[in-house]
Amino acid sequence: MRPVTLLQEAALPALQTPQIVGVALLYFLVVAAIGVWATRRTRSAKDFFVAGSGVGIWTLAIAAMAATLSGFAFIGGPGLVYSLGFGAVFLVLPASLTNTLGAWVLAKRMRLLGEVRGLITVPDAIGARFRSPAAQGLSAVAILVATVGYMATNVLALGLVIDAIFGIGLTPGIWIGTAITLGYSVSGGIMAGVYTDLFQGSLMALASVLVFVFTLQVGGGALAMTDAIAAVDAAWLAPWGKLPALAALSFFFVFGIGSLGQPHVVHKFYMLRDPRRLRWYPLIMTVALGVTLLLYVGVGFAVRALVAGGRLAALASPDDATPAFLLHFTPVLLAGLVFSGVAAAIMSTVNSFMSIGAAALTHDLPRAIGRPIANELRWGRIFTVLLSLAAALVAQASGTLVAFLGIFGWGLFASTLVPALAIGLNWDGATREGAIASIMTGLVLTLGCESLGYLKLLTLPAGVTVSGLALLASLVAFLGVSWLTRARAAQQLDPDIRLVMEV
Amino acid sequence: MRRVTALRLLALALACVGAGYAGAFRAGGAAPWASWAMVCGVALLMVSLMALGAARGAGTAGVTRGMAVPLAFTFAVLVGCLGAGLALPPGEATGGARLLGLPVRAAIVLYGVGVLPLLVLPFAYARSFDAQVLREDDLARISEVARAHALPGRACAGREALKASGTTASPREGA
Repeated sequence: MRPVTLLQEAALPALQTPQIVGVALLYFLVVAAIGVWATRRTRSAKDFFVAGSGVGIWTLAIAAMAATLSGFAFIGGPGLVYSLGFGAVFLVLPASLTNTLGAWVLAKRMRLLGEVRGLITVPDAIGARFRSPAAQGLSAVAILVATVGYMATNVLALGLVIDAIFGIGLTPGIWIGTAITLGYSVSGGIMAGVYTDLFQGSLMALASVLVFVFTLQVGGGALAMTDAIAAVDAAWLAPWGKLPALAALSFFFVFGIGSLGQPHVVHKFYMLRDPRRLRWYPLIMTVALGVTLLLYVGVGFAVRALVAGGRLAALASPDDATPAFLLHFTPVLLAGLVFSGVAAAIMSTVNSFMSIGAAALTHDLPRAIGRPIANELRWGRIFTVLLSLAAALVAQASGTLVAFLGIFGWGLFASTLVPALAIGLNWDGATREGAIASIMTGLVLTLGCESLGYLKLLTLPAGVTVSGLALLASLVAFLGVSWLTRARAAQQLDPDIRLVMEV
Repeated sequence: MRRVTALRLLALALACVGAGYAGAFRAGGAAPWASWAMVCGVALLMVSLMALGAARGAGTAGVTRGMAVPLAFTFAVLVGCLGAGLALPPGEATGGARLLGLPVRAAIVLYGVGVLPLLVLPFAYARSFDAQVLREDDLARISEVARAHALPGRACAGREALKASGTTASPREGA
């Protein structure tokens, strides 16, 4: 099985038709217009990093959905379903639970922490909870490491999509994509990001629903597609597809529990205007995510059936599943909409990472060493530019390096942030020693084992992933060290934080 | 469910997940029980984290009885559907039974885990919101503390507001 990088790494088929180019240009124009509008409303660091805490619940939920899904949901994911069968669905299957889980575990606490302390970043919350600059700084380092990798892989994917649409070559594609995302991110910060995310998320959901309808129509319905596949490749239809059951269940563990540690989603809770509106967050977010993931499942399923039935030639690469289906079986305008949706998915993710990466450099690390920066808005913009340039250079420099960086992003976030956030904010017996131990465990295990795996010095049995082991180990370290140091727990909890944890 | 019970379940869940991974290292391929351990671990982990997050009040206080339904539902769906995927015999080949267009095992897992929680959990959350998640008096207490923090001399004002809100100061603060 190839590593699941959650990102687009291989070139896409050429898509340059006037209709696709026209839809894509229109999409970029709307994004630019939203960026200009948001820039005029960005006047402070709070506007830049948490949209002035003035976002409504629909905008919050759809922006969180857009940030959650990268281009992988539209290209790599369907390709994975095509090649691995239903086992690949286990990457997104927890989505039916994770938003309600996140609402119960994190949403209220994060939002109220923002209210009480005026916090603006995820490491802020960890630092405040454990009264620990060290925990805040370490979590910021983890976020920064994962962010650069994630951004580089997403920027490469954006370059590939722009190259496929406009036919301008990969390098110009990378730099033009970076420049457009940077343009609205550096001027309007997360304020621009969250409202472009609203547009981009709506576009992704619309494109996904339309394509799903076409997959059912072209494939003749689920039963016909099942029968077509069963005739040639019954193993594909098993609940775990062609994966061992343990591998699929391991995906469920990592992507289900790991969702609680994704800073680009968690930090959006600070932005909500009225915390009482959280009542509808799980419903809106789960429906939005479920609808947008229809394409992920539908295209992989339909293309496998079309190939099995001899109506489509076997794909040269699994990542060709979506382009092949769109170019052969849907109207060209819909193809244009979907490819704009792919660009939208990538750009919304990149923008979120620009924001949290810049916040780690501008806000968290200086505070962790006791030297806060006076003008966080100006430095936030400067660091956004520098991070983006670094990511674009990495994306351009080396394909294998980019692939490596893409592998551990999700797992690093999960193993370093889930224990301190999901348990730490809900258990007053947790200690800063436990938090620091879990962050260090996640950092060392993920970076160390992924590096050894990349160098082919470490091989794990089927079904076991570094992300899963690191998440498990960091959770155990958090509970174990907190229990060993439990006598100190009460002293490490400020009264206002205790209030947030008790309500 | 009390917080301490949720924490014990969380520890048990981690032990199950750990056992699942350990079973994969067995020579000659993963042990058959490894997948079952992972199913139980994942289900317990989801439920214990939900209970921990939904718990209110100081110390060992926990969740109300109303939360029992969504928690039990989540556990039953995860163990039942994923377990059915493991326990039922394969029937994917041509001529096998189909359920809603898919082979039975895949249908139970994909529709059961992918769709059923969507129909129940967001509504359970919304329904429990006023009683279990966020009350008007919670917001009033939080706003009071936030206002006090925003005032000049915020530390003293914050302590006064917390005293008024009924939250006990930490030993260090109290000293």
